[in-house]
Amino acid sequence: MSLLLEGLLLPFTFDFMSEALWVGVVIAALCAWLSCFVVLKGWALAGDAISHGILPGVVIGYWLGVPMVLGAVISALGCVLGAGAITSRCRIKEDAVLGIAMTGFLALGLVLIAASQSTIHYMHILLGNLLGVEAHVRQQVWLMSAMTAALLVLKHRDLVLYCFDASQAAVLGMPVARLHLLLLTLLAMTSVVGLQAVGVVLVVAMLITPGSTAFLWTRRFVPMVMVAMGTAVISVMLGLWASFYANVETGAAIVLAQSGFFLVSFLLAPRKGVLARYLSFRRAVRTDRRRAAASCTD
Amino acid sequence: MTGTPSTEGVAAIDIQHLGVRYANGHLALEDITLTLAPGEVCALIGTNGSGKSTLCKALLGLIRPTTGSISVQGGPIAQARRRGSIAYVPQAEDVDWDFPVSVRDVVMMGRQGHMNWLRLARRHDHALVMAALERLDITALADRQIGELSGGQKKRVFLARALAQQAAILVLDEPFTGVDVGTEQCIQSLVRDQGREGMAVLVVTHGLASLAQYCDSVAMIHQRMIAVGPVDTTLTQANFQAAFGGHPMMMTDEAH
Repeated sequence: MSLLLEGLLLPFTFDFMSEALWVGVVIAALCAWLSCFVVLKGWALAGDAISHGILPGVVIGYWLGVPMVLGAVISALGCVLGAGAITSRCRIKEDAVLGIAMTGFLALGLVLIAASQSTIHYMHILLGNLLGVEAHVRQQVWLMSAMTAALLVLKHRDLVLYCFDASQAAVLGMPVARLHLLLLTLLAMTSVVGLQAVGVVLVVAMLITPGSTAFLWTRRFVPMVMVAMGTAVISVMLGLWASFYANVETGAAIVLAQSGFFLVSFLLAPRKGVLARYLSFRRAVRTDRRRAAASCTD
Repeated sequence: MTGTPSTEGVAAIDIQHLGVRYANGHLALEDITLTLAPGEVCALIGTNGSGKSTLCKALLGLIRPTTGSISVQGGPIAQARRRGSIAYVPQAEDVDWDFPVSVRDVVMMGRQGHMNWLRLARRHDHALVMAALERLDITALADRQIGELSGGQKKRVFLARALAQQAAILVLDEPFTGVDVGTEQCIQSLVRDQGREGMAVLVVTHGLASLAQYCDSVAMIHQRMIAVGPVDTTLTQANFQAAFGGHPMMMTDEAH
């Protein structure tokens, strides 16, 4: 037992591993928090578009030497709002327009990276590099996480109402358009943070999977956020162990662990899992039959 | 009502020559004029697609009129919304019943416009939520997730939310679809009571039989206003034909 514990803790005695753990935990928890809003609002595709839409902004921000979050937010909003503007003026369906927009922005980002010939680590942006997050990037992660978390706390009630019943929010005189923009901006900021861990390609998983998993286990919003954060944080640990012991790509291992949590929850979650639902169906059928038999003998 | 300016002699709802055309070119409403005094309960009836829901949305400020005007308590809708003066009960199919909120959470959403910028619920808010739950007889369900309720109970939750809001105007969009008889009677008595206390209520409904028992007036629309007035003199055979049968556009003359 103690040998196992030693094995689990050993990786984090190395500085680069414990740093990766801290950064990863914060990133995962933040993404998980946002993912609850994404899942409940039905914004998985928009989340995908945002997370890919940040790429051109990140690269241009890198060129100009401005904080990458600035470029990322502008470029992500351009992607999603542009797609929205096209959808409302065109007979092509929204998912197709979003698909065009996000792949277009991703491709633009790739072209910009190739054109820059700079020191940008191409693979680090695409696949993440949790084991080698530079100090100044780490500071940005702390700052953005703190800002996002503060806004989520302050605007908690309004954002939940906006996701649940936007009409009621509007009828109460709330600035619904601004709440919409706030949520998009927070998603863009979180994507920038998240890409440090798993890269631009996979960051959307961090913005969908934990919330979906938690949805299957809970009936209230705050517990849902807690469960989402829990599975996301454990996934980061699993990912780091996998990359330490088995030399697996960290980001991919994290996302794989999250997918695993979802699959297990889908099967085994109480009430909302398939097994529980099947069992409760069987129970109901047994009661029906017993009642039917009783009424026959009467 | 709390938070509302003096409304002596001012119409609760004043809709003048309202017209709504959607961006796809569809003309949903044309030249609708309707006023509700404080305390007036008005039924809004018409066929599917006659523009009832569009009229509700325009009144709630969710869509912008293309012609005409709407004022609430003598002022623009936006002001009334910020005062928390307008409450609405959505149609059941417009609600995400899987959303992880409890009955109490939803009723508390009625108080949200009245809370300060930190959105902390005060004792007064909790008291109003409890009172609303009690009035609708759903106190025992307060901690249930909203998806675990029956059709009638679900409707009561949103009525409780509207009640907790303490609005001056209540818009109910088809409150009787998919509810049991008990809930239907509960809603009707609630509407009547709220009317007596000065709330102006607009009820979209298909149930014509009991209109006279809880409504003061009825408005029959089919894109245009077919007829509006007290229930007994307005719900006539001719008006009914114009609103529900034949070619409504040709029969509007007959209705006047």
